[in-house]
Amino acid sequence: MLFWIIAAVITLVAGLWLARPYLLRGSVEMNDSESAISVYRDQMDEIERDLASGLISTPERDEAIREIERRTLQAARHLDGGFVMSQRSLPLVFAVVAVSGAVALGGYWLTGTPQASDQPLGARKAEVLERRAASGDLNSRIALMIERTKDNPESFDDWWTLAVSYASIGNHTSAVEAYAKAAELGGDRPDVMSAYAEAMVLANGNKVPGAARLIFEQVLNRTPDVRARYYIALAKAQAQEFEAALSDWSVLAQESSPSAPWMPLLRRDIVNMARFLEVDVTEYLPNATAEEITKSGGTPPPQTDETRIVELRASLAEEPHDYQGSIELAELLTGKGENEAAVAVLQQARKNYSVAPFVLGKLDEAARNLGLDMMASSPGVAGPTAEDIAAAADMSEEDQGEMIDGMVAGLVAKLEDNPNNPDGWIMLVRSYAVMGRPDKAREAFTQATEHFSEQDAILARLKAEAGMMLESE
Amino acid sequence: MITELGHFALWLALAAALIQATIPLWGAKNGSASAMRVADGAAQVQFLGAGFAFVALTWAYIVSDFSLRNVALNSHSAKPMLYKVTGVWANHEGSMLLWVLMLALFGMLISIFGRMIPVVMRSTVLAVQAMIGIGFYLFLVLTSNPFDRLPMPPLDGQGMNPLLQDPGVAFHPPLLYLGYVGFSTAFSFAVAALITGRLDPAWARWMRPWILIAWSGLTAGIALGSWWAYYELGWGGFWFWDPVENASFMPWLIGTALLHSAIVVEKRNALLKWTILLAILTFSLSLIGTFLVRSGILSSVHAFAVDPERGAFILVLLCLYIGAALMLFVWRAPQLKEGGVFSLWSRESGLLVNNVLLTVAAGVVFVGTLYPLVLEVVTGDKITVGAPYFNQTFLPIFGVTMFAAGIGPFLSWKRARRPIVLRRVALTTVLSLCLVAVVALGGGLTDPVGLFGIFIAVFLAVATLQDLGLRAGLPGAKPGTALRRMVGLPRSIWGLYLGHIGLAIAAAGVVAVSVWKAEEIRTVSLGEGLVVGPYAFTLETIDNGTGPNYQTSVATVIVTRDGVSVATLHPERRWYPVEGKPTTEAGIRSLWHGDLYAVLGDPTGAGGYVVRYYYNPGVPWMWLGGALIAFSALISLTDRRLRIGAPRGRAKAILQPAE
Repeated sequence: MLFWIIAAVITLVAGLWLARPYLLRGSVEMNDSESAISVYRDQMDEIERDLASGLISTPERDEAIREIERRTLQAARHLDGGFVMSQRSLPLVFAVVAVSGAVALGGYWLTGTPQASDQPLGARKAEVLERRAASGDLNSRIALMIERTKDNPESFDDWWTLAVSYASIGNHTSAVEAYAKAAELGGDRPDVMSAYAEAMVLANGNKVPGAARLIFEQVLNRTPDVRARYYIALAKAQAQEFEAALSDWSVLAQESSPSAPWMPLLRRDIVNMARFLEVDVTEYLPNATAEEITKSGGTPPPQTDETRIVELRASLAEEPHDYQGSIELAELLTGKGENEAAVAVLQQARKNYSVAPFVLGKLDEAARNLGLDMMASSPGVAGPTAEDIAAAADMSEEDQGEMIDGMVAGLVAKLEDNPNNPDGWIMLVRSYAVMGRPDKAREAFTQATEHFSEQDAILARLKAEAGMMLESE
Repeated sequence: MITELGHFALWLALAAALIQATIPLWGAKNGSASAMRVADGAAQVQFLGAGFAFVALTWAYIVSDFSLRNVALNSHSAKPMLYKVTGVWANHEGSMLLWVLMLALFGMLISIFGRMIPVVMRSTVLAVQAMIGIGFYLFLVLTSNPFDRLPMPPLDGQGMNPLLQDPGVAFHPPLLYLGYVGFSTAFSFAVAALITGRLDPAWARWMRPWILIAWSGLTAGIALGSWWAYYELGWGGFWFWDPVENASFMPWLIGTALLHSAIVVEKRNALLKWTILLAILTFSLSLIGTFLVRSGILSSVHAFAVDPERGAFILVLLCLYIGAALMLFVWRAPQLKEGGVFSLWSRESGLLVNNVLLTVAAGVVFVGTLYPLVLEVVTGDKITVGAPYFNQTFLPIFGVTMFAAGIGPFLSWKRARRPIVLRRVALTTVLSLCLVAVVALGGGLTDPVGLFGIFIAVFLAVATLQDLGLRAGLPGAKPGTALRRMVGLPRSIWGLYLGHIGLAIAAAGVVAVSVWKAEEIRTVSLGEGLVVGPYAFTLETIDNGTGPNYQTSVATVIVTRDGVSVATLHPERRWYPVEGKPTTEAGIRSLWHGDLYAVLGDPTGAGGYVVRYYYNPGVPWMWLGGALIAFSALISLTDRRLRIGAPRGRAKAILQPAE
């Protein structure tokens, strides 16, 4: 409304200004010939002045004066003796004001937004901060809260939010001041008091000052505040009462839910303290993990199924030709009731050993033992089928290489199970030699000679048929 | 509320322009003094309206009111205050507001300082001004309203092209518009003369100050733009024959012709129709320039508005104004009576020759600028007409124009004595040749084109000084008398001398830098030196820092000559994170004979930096010359007399008709 009033006043003043000639009575205006002649008159004076100051010569002056006179005569020809008079006319004043007002106000009404106020950034500071704070900018949130606490110095909520914000960006010194104010306004609320004391600790480089300990103790008298319990224990530790601190922490840990947010910190402190005191951490932290036990200087307990499963999966991913590992994994999985996963593991192993009938047999045996053969998706029990072998015929070189690897692995498995097989050893040494792995071949040859060290006939045959391969290298 | 009042004030200015365009014309037709005098008040109201709108928009920029779309798109809260203010006109809407503000400013000035102009003429002039204004106010409020609001103002603006965040370019648009829009007065006076049918020396006298202001502003604006390009774009160049530059150069050329032919009208009552035509053409070219820049039809740094709707609007306005004025000319010009007669050998003829040359030069630039556009519209092919075209066509014409400018003052009004003129031309030629020979031998310069260019500049300077000496009574008069006479010379004459000397100095600078520039572009590591012409440039250090709204790397480059340290340059590379754009700031040291100029480029991976070093001889002369030319118009402006060209001597000569 104010806007329209101002606009209307401006319009009226402007309109009157526009129409001013119609408001004045009897002003006189020269007609243009007259004004031209006045110009020429001025100019003649100028020429006389130039002559007097020696800028032009007398002939030049005469010539110029003649020229001006000529022009003056020409101008005088248009001189119709006229002055023009202005005339007052109120209807015309009204018309001019109305037309200009209609155009200005009407036009603005079309394109303007009269209700919109100015929004300089300075005045939008609060809005700017709120929007930034809403998008997670803590500094803006703090600036916003500082503004708010200036406006409402008695508002507990604002001081509290400010303190929490300071704490979350790690500015504990400022947080202490804000918490102090909040504590004062909050009437000694225990949660506020304990947050205040905690900020004092953090601002003090994690050392619990006497004042903070006092506050924590007061809080603890009124409520079993976790923070108070933790920091009082910390204060004890810092006062060389290590055992007391450790046992306080231990009690706290056992009374807290394992997923409580303070648990990681608490567990870390317990572990460190146990190492420092050279005590068994499991006494204080019964569910300590192996890692924690190691950290605390103790020996880790035997592995659990879970960790073994993870280990096996990792090692199988790296070296798939480990049928015993596969079988162990399948056994563990079945033990946990994960039959499907166990079947999948065996299936994968069968694929890797598809041309090693001995291993396939072992795998099938394991499946039978575990009762997995009753499942719809159980691995087959037969050896390599005709299909398998036909498939091998048109394999790519890479696949063939893999198949050979599988066969050799199968042979190794077979010999591990039953080493009394001279032909098997000879075949293994030869295979390794052909595959270009002399170190493996030599290793296998050594194993074989050791195994048959008391059987000269077999030794002689080994040397003749396998040792030859090694010597030719 | 300030913003909305600014928006309202814009409409009020439009309302005032409507009144100003109608009632005074009716009054002039019917002899009503009151109606005619409405023009004065309307021009003042119009200016106050446009002025308040401009102030309101500036205010919005200063306080970063991002509820205005225009501010949100073109400003940023972290921008230094200077660029918040100059950001007002560094965008389409704001610069159009500045355009109408300038138009209103000239109208207001005419209403106040034009009291000596008879009311019929003054009111008609103001009515024509207002007609131009109406079109552009409508353009502003309907297609380019700077006061459009955003319902959800953003937290911060999108910034401003960092290339434009520079003090040089900050004041380039206002000066340029002072020129562009100032020529609207010439247009209005011409149209008013055609409407009223009254055209005499007094008319030229009344028009003179407005043309001088406009021409001075345009000169300074062009020089400032060129200077900015020189130090900001970092290529050592100062003029690129860019269409936007040409758009401001064409009105300057025709405006220069107008300035000179208006002198003939004022002094000799001749060349009347020609002057009217030039006045119309000058402002038409300003409008075409505005169209080229504002429609976004060109794509270059300047053309930041790409909006076909706006382009069409300006095109319609352009055709309307130019078409109407030319039609009026065709209809009314035959009824105008030419006054003075002059002989073939006379100042009038000299100025006419100069006029024709300048017009042809402008025509050549016009063809080079618009031909690619026309071709693109007609055939769809995109071509560029570059420096070679302009150098081969424009420069020879302009060279001849400069000769004519040197000889012109030797000619006296109405009829000149041919032998005297020829003797003085010969003397000037001999003196100039001697001077050029001294320069060539002394400096070891051999380039024939360059030496010829220098000869032309020297010729103009020698001719101008010779004329000044003769006016002062030299060589006959005593030094004291001569000095007194010199000081006592009319200031319009001083305008002539300063303008012509300025042109000679600027031309010498242009020739020198074009022909004898030395440059090196190389990758160097710290401590490595490069030889550029007679100078050795060494990159000493690179320091990183931050400015108010940018990060910067500042290099220290030491320049030595024959082992003696000459200058320390600090070229910079800036990065503006808000706009996401880099800029280069050349390090420049101006010596009296030329500029040492260094640009820091990107670092290469291996600890090297791309640097560009230049020795640009003559560049300081260009700026000095440009400043002298702009200043000469202001000197002329202070000469308030009505000038009379008195023919010298009484020798009988065969008089020639005026055209």
